[in-house]
Amino acid sequence: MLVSYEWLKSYVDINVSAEELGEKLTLAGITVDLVHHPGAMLSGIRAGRIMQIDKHPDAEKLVVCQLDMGEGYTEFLNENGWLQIVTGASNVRVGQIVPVALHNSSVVDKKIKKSKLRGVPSYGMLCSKEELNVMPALTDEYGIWILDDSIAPGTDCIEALWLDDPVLELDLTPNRTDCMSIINLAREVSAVLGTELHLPEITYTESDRQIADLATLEVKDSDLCPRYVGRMIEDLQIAPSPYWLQHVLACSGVRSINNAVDVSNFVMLEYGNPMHTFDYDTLEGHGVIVRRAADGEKIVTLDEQERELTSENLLICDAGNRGICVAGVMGGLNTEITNETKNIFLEVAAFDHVSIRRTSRYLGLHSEASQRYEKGVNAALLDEISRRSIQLLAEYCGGKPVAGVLDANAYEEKPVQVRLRTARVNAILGTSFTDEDILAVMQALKFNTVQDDEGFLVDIPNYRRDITLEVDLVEEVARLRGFDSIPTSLPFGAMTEGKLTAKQRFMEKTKAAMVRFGANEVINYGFISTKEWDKLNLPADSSLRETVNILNPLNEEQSIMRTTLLPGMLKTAARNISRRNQDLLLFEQGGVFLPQGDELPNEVTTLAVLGSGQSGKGWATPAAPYDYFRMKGILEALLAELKITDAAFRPLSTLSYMHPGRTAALYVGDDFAGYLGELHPAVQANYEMKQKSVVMEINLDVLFAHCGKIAQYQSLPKFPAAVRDIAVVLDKKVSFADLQSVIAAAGGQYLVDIALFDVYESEALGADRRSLAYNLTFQCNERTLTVEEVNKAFDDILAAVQNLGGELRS
Amino acid sequence: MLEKIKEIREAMQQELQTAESAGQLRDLKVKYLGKKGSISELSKSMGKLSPEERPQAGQLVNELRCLLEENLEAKQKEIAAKAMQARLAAEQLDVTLPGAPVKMGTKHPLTLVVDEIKDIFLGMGYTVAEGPQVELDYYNFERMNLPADHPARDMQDSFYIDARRLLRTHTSPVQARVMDQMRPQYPIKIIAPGAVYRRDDDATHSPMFHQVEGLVVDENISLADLKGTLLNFVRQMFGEDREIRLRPSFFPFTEPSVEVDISCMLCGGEGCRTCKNTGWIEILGAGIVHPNVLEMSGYDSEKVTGFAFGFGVERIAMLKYGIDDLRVMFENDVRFLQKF
Repeated sequence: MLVSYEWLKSYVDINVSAEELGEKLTLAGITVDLVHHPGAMLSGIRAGRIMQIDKHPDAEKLVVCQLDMGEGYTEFLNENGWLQIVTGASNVRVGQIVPVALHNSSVVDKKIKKSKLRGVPSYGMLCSKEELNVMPALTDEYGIWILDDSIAPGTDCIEALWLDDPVLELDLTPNRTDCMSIINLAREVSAVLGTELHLPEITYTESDRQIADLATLEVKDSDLCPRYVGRMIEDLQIAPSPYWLQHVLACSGVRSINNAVDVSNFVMLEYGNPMHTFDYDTLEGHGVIVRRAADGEKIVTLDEQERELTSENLLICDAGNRGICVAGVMGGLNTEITNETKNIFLEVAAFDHVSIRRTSRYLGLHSEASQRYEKGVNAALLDEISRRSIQLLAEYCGGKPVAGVLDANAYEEKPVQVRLRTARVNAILGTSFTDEDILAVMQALKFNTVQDDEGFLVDIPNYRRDITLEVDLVEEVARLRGFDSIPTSLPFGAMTEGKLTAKQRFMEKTKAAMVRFGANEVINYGFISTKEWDKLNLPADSSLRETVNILNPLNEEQSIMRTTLLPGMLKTAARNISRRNQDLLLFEQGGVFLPQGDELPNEVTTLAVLGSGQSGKGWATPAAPYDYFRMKGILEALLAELKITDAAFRPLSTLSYMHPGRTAALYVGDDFAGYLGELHPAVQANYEMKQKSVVMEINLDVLFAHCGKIAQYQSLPKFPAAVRDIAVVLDKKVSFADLQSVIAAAGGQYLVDIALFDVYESEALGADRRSLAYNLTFQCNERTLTVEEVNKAFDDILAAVQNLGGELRS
Repeated sequence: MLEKIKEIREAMQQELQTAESAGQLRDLKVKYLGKKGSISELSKSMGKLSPEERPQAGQLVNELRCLLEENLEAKQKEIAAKAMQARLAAEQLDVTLPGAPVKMGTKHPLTLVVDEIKDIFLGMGYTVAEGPQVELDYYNFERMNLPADHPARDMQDSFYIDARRLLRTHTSPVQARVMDQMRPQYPIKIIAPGAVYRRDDDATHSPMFHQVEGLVVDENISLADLKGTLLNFVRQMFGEDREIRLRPSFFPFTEPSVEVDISCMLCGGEGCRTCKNTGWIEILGAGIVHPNVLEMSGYDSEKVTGFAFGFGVERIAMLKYGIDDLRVMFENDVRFLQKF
């Protein structure tokens, strides 16, 4: 919200600069974001009267003006005492008063110097509004700004036209929309500065014509319109508004239309309530009916758009039952004020704010009025506002106020009284204010207060509907005394223990481990696009496609909650690779959202890791690619770190997005905990990745359920171990895992370690055979094993391997 | 005899001087001290001398032996030192060549900030609470004193799943969930970090971002306690010489509500671009828990009071690490990630 500082000063005494006022209001809760100085760059602008206009001898589009610059000005005058200025503007006429930027003056973005235009000397510049930074966004006037005749030549325009009036930009919190009224803002300023308030005095003379004889009012749906006040004024002259009114509106960002419309906007800015003016003579049956629209009923609004309404929308109609205004949102074109309007029917009403909000959203129409109605208006003030409007319409449009008022009032004002205890104030704020301190704040706010045994009873005025509870008054005390006055302390009470839960520690440990393994953590959005499923080649019945869907996404890219971290990870990897960051080890630890019917989804903490490219390559060190076994090593290290002892990997060929021959399922106990493997080449292509990636996605909730306790230290073996090597040749179809479990079973109780050290394939062995070589470690904690015991175990292992179709490699 | 000793002594010294290798020294040792070495021969021939001559000759031979042994040892050390020097010279590296690369993992800056916040508040006796990201409207709004059609709901344009469920727009609903769990017990001292979502996507807004909520409920909790707690936090997070400033604000679930500014850490309050020349940087919102929120959660608002605060993790990360573009946080470019 924008407010002219000079205008504000006409309602309340202000003894500080605009900046200081902004600072003080901000610290009192009325945030002033910025103080604009639209005239900051202006200097040396004076009014001049055009005395003579001649054609430029050498330029068709230029004219040479002679100006009377008033008594005080003497520089560069010709023998007639006039200042010569060449201009290209076409709207200048002899006799006009115009703003003149003199030699060495400044206008927006430029300095003005005397010069010659096509050989003719020019001692300044005639200015447009734009050049003087007047309502830059609001004017559609072109050419030189023609000033009011009452401004004498020689007048300093910056001062006389308030060109240097500071504008305060307010950022009001939703509880203080009362300050969208300059009168309420002035009350706030008065409370903050402790200065005098000057509220408008409303007086005008009514004619002997009675409104009851001229118009009717019927509110059919008072649930949506608790109060409707109608007044009339006759015989007015529609004309441009006086300059001060235009200035005030411009500072507030409101465009000047004509005196009647400007007055209604002005009073809206004063009181915060929107209002509407109808051309009385266009009202069929000279009456107003307020009712819900019929479904499909149409109205052409002021912006010349035809709008179709529903029975949810409130419609103002004339007595002919013709829609004339979408209540609180926008007026109808059929009853608009025009230059020919003579008689006005004024509407000052309160509408249900929810209804207005719905209508405004439904129509996609957010007007100054609807935005104010949505925040709720003060129905108690409607009659005062209507009288203020009639007063100003009479004053600035020369109309004759009709006597009396039409007031359909279903609104009951309930006085609000709130108790305020000094002890409570101090308990909540941690202060030691006295009764007098509290009372002083209530008085600054001009709240009526009665003191009794329990403290104060405070009458809350109807313009401060944000105050309903004692704490609301506590806040008033805090903000007007200033938060600086509140001391600092720390909570003093029972000791509490700062600690993480076992699961939180587990999740932190996982992250820390991934960082130790050299991975970079990424954070992707929780929502993804439905297009990802096709990129992952997911079958139509895949459970990953069962998602929690966003009803009103910003775009398709962010429309469903992820059921897997993979798409986000792949997009991140693809983006990095396309930026030539080709060596990647990335991890994300975050939630996936698995729907559970109408319940909230199951948010499963998941770890995704992606490796692509290589690491370690230096001038002296070889590169180590992030291939399947490297990534498996990382996963195994993680499992070890998390004390997961019952993990097993099994081939997994059914994931559409994974290489069917290079993917493993991770089982922990009997639970599926995730997968690890190479991305399917087709999916890699779908994500436009130019290099292979190995990915894993692990359900951390499952891992947590299986994670071990603190590892117990076992003393190092005291007796020497016997290590035997064995290399066996057998069919490739026998997996390492199967062979390993056979060896472990056959090796007996003293076989403590089976370490694979070589996998060898060659033509000599046969196309479908391979050799696996192990170090087998035998050890007993009680004694040194005998050669016979070791030989026996070794022979048992060999026999078991031979059972599998294997043989010792010769 | 004496003549002979002198001769040997001179020859020996000559040879010692010219010896250059450990092998030559070994030969010298054999030549003079071996069984048939010159000095051994001298000792043997002692018997031929008269008893008067013997002591003097014996002493000279002994001196000769000692001299040789000492010199041999010194020479040995000298040669070993030379050999070592030669080896070291041969092994010299260009130590300015780069080292073998070590791949360092990194936490995301948002995680680093949350970790730091957790540490600070764990140290103050807080626990860490969590809540769902897909949340009930009931917790996200109603329990936070934002009934349906409350005008302040406009402040937070939300992503809805259906009429009942939405993506939480703030971490505040965790307050209500924690109170539901704890009721009727107190004190409560929690922080709740997590992702939140709002329908905003531009240079300074991300549709998903992160907040940390804080809640303390106990008897006699005051705004002064909030101020002290936040001052403590801010000084640990941003440096001991930071100051805070409270400005009145509005949140439906706290009353009084405040915005908290910290004195600018870049200019120390002088005014700069980061603080828009005000010397202050807005960093979080806070306040005294609204009595409606306490009552809805089953606490007697006359008996207990509380304070709550909430801040944006991205904002703190940007201030702390000097990140000037919100969007880079979610682009996850490794060159960015690797910097933390």
